[in-house]
Amino acid sequence: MSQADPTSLAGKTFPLRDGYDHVVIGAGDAGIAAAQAAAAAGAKTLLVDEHPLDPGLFGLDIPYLFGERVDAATRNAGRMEERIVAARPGLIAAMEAGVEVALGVAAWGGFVRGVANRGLPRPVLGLADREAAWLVAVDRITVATGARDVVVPFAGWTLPGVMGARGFDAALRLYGAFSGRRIAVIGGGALADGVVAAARAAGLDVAAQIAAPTPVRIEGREEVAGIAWQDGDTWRETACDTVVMAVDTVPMVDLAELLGCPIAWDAAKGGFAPQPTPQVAIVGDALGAAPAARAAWLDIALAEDHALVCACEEVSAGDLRALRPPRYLDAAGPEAGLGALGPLNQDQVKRLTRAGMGACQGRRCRESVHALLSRHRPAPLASYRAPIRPLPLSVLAALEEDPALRANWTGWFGIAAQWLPHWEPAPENAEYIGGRLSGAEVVK
Amino acid sequence: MIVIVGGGVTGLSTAFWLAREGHPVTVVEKGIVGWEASGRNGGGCTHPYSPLFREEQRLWPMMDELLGHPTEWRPHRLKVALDEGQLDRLWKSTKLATDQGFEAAPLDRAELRDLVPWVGDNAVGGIHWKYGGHANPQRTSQAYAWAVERHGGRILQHTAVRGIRTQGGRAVAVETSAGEIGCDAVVIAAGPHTAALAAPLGHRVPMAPARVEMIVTEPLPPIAYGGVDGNGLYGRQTLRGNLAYGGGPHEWIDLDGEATPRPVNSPVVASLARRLNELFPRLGHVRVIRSWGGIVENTPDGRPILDRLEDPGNVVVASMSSVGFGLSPATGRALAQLVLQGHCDFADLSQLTLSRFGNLPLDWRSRQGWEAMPA
Ligand SMILES: Cc1cc2nc3c(=O)[nH]c(=O)nc-3n(C[C@H](O)[C@H](O)[C@H](O)COP(=O)(O)OP(=O)(O)OC[C@H]3O[C@@H](n4cnc5c(N)ncnc54)[C@H](O)[C@@H]3O)c2cc1C
Repeated sequence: MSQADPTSLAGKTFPLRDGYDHVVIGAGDAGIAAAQAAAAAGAKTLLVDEHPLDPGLFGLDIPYLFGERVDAATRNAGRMEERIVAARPGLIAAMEAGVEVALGVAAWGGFVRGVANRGLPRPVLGLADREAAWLVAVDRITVATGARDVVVPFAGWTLPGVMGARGFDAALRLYGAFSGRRIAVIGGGALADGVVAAARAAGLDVAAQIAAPTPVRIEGREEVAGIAWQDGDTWRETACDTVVMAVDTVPMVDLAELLGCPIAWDAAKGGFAPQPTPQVAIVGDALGAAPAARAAWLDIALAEDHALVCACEEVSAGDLRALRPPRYLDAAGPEAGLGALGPLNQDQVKRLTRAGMGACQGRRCRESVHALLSRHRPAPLASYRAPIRPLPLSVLAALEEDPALRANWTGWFGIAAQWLPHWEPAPENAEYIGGRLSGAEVVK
Repeated sequence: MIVIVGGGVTGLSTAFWLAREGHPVTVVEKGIVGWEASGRNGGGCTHPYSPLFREEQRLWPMMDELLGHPTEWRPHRLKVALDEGQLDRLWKSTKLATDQGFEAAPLDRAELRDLVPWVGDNAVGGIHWKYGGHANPQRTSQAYAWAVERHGGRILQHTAVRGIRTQGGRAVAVETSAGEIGCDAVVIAAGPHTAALAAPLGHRVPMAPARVEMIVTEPLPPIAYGGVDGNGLYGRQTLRGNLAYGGGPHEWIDLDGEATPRPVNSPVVASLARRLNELFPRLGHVRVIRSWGGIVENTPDGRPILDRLEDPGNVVVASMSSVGFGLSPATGRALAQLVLQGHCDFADLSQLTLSRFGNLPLDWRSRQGWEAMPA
C-alpha cells in the first residue's frame, strides 16, 4: 500500500494515561471482590466507581432515579468520598490488597477492536472525573455496574420526591443525604421489602406499601405531597414527601454493550441481560439479579394515553401509540400509528417520537417504551452509545489527542475533487477547498 | 415493476418520484428504511458543486408537502472562521454557489454573534449562506417511505437482495431472501453494497466503504439558523435544540458479506467535542449525551455514480459517494428519469457515469491509501 490516507484513522493513536491488566467498573460488593481477586492474582488492577457523582447528574436521574431527594451535602465531593469509603469498608481492604481505587470516576466509553474498528491494539476504556476525560488500555475488564431503577409512569411520577429503589438506597446509605421523612413504597417483592426495612432502620416513617399491581396517582403540585391508590372498589390515600418505586430494577448494560457483550432479552434476569466475552466479565447485579416483576404494573400505567413516558422529551403513551412527531412539529403521526412500521424497533420509534432521546438517554423510559412495543414479541434492545454518562464539552475536550490526528483533521474525507464542480471532469491535481485544518491553522 | 434495491434516501426518493407518477415500484431493504447512512448523517442540504444543486435548492422547500410528513427542513447555513485561512477557504467554496446566482453575505464577529450567540472572541468572522439548509435525516427517510406507500408503492423491509437475474441483456427478476420479484427495471442504490450487487452483472463499481462518527449535545435554546459549521466540523442545531456535529478522521473498512458492519464509535468522539468547544467556547458546560457512527462509501474521485448501464440495459446504478442526503430529493428525480427515459433532462450528469473509471487500476484502493487497517 502506498502512504495511508492522512485524513483517515490509519496511523493515528489514542494517547493513554495508563494501562492495566484488569479494570473493574463499579465498586459494589461484587466489584470490590472481583478487584481484590484480580490483584491477589498479581494483576495490575484499577477499580473505579462513579460515586461520588458529578452533582449535575443527580438532577438528570443518572444513573438512578434520585427524584431530587438528595441534600446539598452531595455537592461536597470530599465529604461524600469519605462517606462512601465508610459505607463500603471493602474499599480499604481492596486498597490494602494493592488495588488502585478511583472514586468519583465514571466510565463513559468502552472501545474494542471490531470489523469496523481496527485501530485499537487493546481494549480502551474512557474514564472521566469532573474536570477531564482520559483513556486507559486494559487486557481484562469486569463490569460490575449493578442495576438501575425502573419507572412505572403513574400520574405524578415526574414530581420531585419520586425515587427509585436504587436511588433511595444510594441517597440513604451511600451518601447519607436522603432529604425526605415520610415515604410510600410501590412494589411487593424483596426489593420493596428491602426499601421498607432500610427506611424503618433509618427512623423514617413508612406511610404505605402498595404491594400488588393497582392504579396509582402521585399527588402534589411542586413536589410529592401524597399518594393515592386503588384498593378494590375504593381509592385510598396518604400523605408522604417521597414515593419510592421499588417494583423492579434492570441490569445496567450500557457499558457491557459498548464493550461488545451480547445482550439478550431474558425476563428471568429482569430484562435485557449481558453475556461475557473473552475479555469482559460481568458480575453482580449487572448480570440480572431477579425475574422481571414490572409487566402488570406497566400495563396499568401505560393503559392511560396521557401517561407521561419520556420526561426529557415529553412523550406520552398515547403519543407513542400514535407514533406522533414531537410537539414542536405540531404534526400528526401516520394514520396507522405504530402499525405504520414493520416489526417494532425501539431505536426507530425513538427517532420518530423522540422517546428516549433526551439527556437521560431513556434511563427513565426505556422499560415503558419497550413494554409498549413488545405486545407480540420482545423488541430489540434500544442501543447505548458513548458517552454513557453525559459529559460537558469541556470535560471531553480535555482528553489528550494525537497531534497527527489534529494536524490532519478535515471536515469530510479530504478528497479534493469531491468539492469541485461535478459537471466538469475531475482535475488531476485539484486544489483542496474542503476545509482541512493543517497543524498551523488550527486554534490551539 | 421497477425494483429498487436499498431503502436509503437514494432508493426511497427514486421510488417516491416513480410512484408519484403512477409507476409500480417495490423497494427492497435488508433492514429498516433509513437505518444506515441515510438516518445517521449531518442533515446538510447544501451542495453547490453538484449538477443537482439547483434542483436540491428548488425541491427542499416543497418536501414536507410532497411527502406529507415533516422533514424538519430549514433554510440557510452560517459559516464560522476561526482564522483568516479558514475564512479564505470558506469564500472559495462560497463562490461555487454565488457563481450560480445564489446569495451570500460576509459577517463580522459582532454580526456573527448576533446570529450565533455561542461563538467566542476566537472567531474572526463568517459567511451567511442564503441558500442551502438542513433537515432531519431520520424523519426524512421515513417520510419518503410513507410517501412511497401512499402512492401505491411497496416497501419490503428485512428482505435482502441476493442477486439479479438477467435474460437477453435485461434484468428480468430480483432474487431476494423472500423469493423472486419479476421486474422491468432495477435501481441498485444499496450504498456501500452497490459494488457487490453490480459485480455479477459484469460491472465493476469502484467504491471504498468507511466509518464516520458524530456527537450530539443536550438541547439549547434554538437560534435563528441552526445550520452552523466551522473549525472542521459540519452539523446543525436540531429543531429541538440539540447540537449534532461530525467531522474529522474516518476509518476505511472492508464489508463482511451482506450485513452492514455496526458503525461503532471511537475516542474520536472526544476530538469532536474538543472542536465543538473551540467553535463555541461559551458552551463548555453543555453536555454531550450521545454519539453514533455511520457507514458510507466513496468512489475514487469522491463523486457520485448515477448511471444507466448498457448491459443489462434496464439497470441503473446509484452511489452518492458519501454525500447524498441533501441531494436526495433531486437525485431521486434524476434517477427516476434515468429509469424511464435513459437521461436526466434537468441536470448535466455526463461526468457521473461509471465509464470514467474504465481505466482504473485494480489496486486503486491501495494506491490511494484507502485500504482497511490490517485485521
Ligand atoms: C455521519 C454521517 C454524516 C453525513 N452527513 C451528510 C450531510 O450532512 N449531508 C449529506 O448530504 N450527506 C451526508 N452524509 C452522507 C449520506 O448520509 C449518504 O450519502 C446517503 O445517506 C446515502 O444514501 P443511500 O440511500 O445512497 O445509501 P444508504 O443510506 O447506505 O442506504 C443503502 C441501503 O441499502 C441497503 N442494502 C444494502 N445491501 C442490500 C441488499 N443486498 N438488499 C437489500 N438492501 C440492501 C442498506 O441496508 C441501506 O439501508 C453523511 C453520512 C454519515 C454517515
